[in-house]
Amino acid sequence: MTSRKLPALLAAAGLCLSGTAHANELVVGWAETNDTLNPVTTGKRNVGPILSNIFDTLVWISPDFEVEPLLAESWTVSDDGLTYVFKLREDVTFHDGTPFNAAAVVSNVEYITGENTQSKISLGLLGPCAHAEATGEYEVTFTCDEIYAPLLAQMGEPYLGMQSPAAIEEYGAELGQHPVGTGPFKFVSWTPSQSIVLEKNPDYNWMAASLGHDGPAAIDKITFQIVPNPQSRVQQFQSGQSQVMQQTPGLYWKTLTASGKYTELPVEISGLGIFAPINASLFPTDDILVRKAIMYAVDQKALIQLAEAGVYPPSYTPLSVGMLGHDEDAEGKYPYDPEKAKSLLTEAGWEFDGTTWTKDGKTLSVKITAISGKAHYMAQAQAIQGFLSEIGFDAQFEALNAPAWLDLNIDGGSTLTPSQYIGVDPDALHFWFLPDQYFNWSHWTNDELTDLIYQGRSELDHGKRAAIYQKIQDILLDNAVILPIRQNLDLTLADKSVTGITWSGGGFQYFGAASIAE
Amino acid sequence: MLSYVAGRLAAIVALAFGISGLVFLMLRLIPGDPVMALLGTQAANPEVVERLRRQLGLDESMASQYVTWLGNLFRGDFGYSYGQQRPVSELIAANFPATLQLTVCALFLSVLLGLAIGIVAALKRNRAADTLGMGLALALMSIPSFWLGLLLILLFAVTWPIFDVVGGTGFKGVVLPAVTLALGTVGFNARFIRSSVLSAQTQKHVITARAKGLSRATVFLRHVLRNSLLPILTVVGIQVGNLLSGTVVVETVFSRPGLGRLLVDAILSKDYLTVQAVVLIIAVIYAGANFVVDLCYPLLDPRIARR
Repeated sequence: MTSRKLPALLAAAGLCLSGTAHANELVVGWAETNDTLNPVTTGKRNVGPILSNIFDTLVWISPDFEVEPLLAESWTVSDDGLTYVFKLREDVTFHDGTPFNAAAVVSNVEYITGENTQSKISLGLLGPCAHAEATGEYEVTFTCDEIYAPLLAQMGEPYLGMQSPAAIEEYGAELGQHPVGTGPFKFVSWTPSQSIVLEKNPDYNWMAASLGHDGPAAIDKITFQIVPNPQSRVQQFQSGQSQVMQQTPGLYWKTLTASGKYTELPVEISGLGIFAPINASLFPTDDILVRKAIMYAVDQKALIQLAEAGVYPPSYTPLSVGMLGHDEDAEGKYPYDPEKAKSLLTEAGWEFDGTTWTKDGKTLSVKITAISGKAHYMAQAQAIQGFLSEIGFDAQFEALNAPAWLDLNIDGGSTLTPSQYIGVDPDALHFWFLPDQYFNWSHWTNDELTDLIYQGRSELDHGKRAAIYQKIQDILLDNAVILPIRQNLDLTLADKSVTGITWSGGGFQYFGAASIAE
Repeated sequence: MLSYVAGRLAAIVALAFGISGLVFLMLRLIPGDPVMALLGTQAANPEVVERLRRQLGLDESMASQYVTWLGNLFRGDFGYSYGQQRPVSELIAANFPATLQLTVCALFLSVLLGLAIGIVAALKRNRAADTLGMGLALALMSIPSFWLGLLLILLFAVTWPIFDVVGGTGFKGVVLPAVTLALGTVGFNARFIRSSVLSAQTQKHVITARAKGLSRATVFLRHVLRNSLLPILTVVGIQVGNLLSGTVVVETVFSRPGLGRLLVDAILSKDYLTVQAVVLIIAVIYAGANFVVDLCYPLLDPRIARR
């Protein structure tokens, strides 16, 4: 080959290779591998967004937590708050042709509650209301053992997506590889740790009204390409080999959004945000004064700057912005004040010799842990370590693999650990602060708090509920058992040609109303 | 020869046993309860925890777990990965071809480039080409593959988008990962081949061949190269192991499916059965590759077969 021909050939090769994404097809750079595509048995939060495109739920929750009709046209709640009657749409069929009706909903609830199902997130979402009965062909009645205010909002989480009863029957343990829902996209294929492909459901005509989209999705095909390596995900997106990318690392988010070339979608993941429970059963944080000193010693804004290029909004209270009861005024509770922190330690009987704090021959030492595979948790933990060292704490940092990290925190062997928790209802707090809960990593309970959590759950009036959660946040912050760090956002970027990507309340990317400009 | 083959095969089986037992034990000595990790918030319910523990067979003694696992293995059943909610055999079937493709392509590239650089360096000994070649070899050996991978992606997938950033198993997906993986071992191969060729060149029979008037090319191909290939073959066998372990990094950088990534994910989530199966397979491949190398010796050196 002559040297003159080479550039031309390369250019030709470049040309035919760059046009791989067809006009109406979307490649999404996805950050995590999936355990299953069965909404009931998944234990991974990041499977949720994919599920919400395959499965519909009875209700749709808007990003600001308005509950809207989806598969249920309307519903009524009995005066005692124990019975929910849903009137279902009559024109819906599953991707496999099975009609959607009350019997299908009942089959789903029976599957979720089944002994051998190994249901994870979904069973918890139904709470004490896991009994469904078909009271008409298109009318289903849920009965609760006790009043359960979170039910309606939680019904809209993708983990309660309706699956085809025929598929449940047919596939058994392999259901997660053959997801059949009623959503805007049908499942095509799943190559483990590589990609998940969905195609448009041409019969779709029941999107939630607030999305303002009639008929089937405009996009023909979506490929979720699994790219756990953040750098590769960014490069894939920058080179145009994907049109959407989730979990953009902070530093890249800063530079890419500054270029003005992309659409920014900071998807709000509701719940408790990113936070670190403070272990109240372990020396020296069993002393409330030491815990308060930690609260004063950590500067959220600087922490985010250090750990994640400052791209996330800080949080000062356990409940995410926008959630029922979120306390706007919590910011002033523990301003960054290292001097105050030191005086609290002195008040608690600790003596400072210029390098270390000691009390009764013991040093002021804390253990901060993080999951080893998660870069942002590690960076946050190390930033906390830095803040505490600054005022003289002997702060140790240890990275652990997920199972070991879980074990250690359940056993109460760690002082502080950055974590996240996702939920659409403030009742999510109960997983972290009721006695005997798996996630009670503060290892702290309080009778008033326990009462309030139960009250919040059984109060149906919005205003009164908000007041209860306000009080709960006060108690948690006054006792310094949780260090709020930042809002939980999935920093998603899309090419300017893609419009209409949205998300359902809780933070689940939804492509049903999206389209691609020619 | 037959008893030699039988002996080697027996050694591989013994090795597989030893490794499987060791991995089995090590996994269970690392802290962390896989059942709790699998269940998430449902772990608050002790009944559910016990049920899953029973289903996973983790309520039994370690010895009986091992015997059960071995028994299933002989029936070709690797067990079920509760973390990925699929049979382990399915996971391996989905990931193995990608790793095989990557390793074979990288091995081919690495040997080919190593031969080219090594032979040129040996023939032009102590001249500019030699210095250049050996300098290049040293440089390639010193570059960490994760950095090289990112650089190649930046150049050939972002700046000039000739290849895919995210490596699939198609042509556009395999080139960059294979080059990344290969370049790390090219340097070693080149240096080794150079010294091997040099030592073969000084053998007496080579001098004789030259003296009796054979052409340079004939001497080199028939007498030098063939004799210098024997030690290279040994190195190639060892290299299969290096390349297999290198796939862990390369598969992660290029987000390729493969055994390396499967293994890392499984270790991090304490997916016992998957880790056991993958480690076993890698060990057998490694031993198998060296076995094949051993079988090749007689082809290059007939004296070995006669022994």
